[in-house]
Amino acid sequence: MTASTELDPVIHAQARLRVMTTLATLGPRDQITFPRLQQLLEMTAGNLSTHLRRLEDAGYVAVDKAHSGRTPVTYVSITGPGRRAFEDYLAKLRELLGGSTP
Amino acid sequence: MSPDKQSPPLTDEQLDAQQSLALVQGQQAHVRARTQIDVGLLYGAWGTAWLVGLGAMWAARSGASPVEVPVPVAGVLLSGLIVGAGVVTATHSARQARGVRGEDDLRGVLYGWSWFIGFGTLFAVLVALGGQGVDREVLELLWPTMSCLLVSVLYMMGAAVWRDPHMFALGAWFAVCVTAGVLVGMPGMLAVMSLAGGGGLLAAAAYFTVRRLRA
Repeated sequence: MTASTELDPVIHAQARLRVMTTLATLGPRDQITFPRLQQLLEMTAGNLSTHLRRLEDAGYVAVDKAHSGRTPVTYVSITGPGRRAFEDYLAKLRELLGGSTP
Repeated sequence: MSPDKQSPPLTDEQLDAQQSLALVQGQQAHVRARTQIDVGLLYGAWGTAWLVGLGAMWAARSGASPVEVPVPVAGVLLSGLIVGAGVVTATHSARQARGVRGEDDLRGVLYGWSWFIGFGTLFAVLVALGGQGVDREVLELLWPTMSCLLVSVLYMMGAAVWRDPHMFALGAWFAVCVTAGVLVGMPGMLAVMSLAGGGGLLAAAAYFTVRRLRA
């Protein structure tokens, strides 16, 4: 019982939950630049970097360093396993709340 | 605080789950409002251009109009509203998409160019026809007819690209408006396009705005 409803600790933290929600809400294969992501989350760059690293280590997000001309641009996206983990997390939240659908 | 039987008190974990779900829903709404295209806004801008612009053009041409509108005024109003709707479309789309890249990008770019090239060519053809001495009356009928037909086809193709049945229905509705307009002839066709075409766009705008606000 507890094992089946245990929430993924990588996602279950306010900042990372908001990051995952934001990435999952974009189009299926969309990538977003670091500054725009930061703006949508209203987080500091340092704070966002820390949480992105944790999510990247878990394989939930991909960080892609590209170039736009000579300027480096960092693109962030949710991975397939990340999306599945996020969906599982939401399903467990609903289960904990007694199966009520939002 | 004695808990009643219907609603047992929330444990910390359950309370947390509730807060988490609220956080997810709040952030989803925040991201959608800032990254997704508000079709209600775009249909509203184009619907206004059609209804008011073509309505003014009809008033300028028709003896049956209750208000007198000089033809140049109607022309400036119509082109101004069309340019305005174009600017709203371009700036809104760019603003929502900034910093985001995806597989759909090429579709949007090519679709945008289809409008640009399509209307550029139509403009060239009709101006050339005018220069070759085609009847003024025929030209006056061709301008709204061909423009509306092109819009109709582009909407239906856009619907195919984005799998959007509502957009297809609008495109098909414009085709009906063109056919009805040609049968009515000038200047009645302008009234048909203003009311039926512009009205159709504004109805779509209202539908999508209500749907967005309820979501």
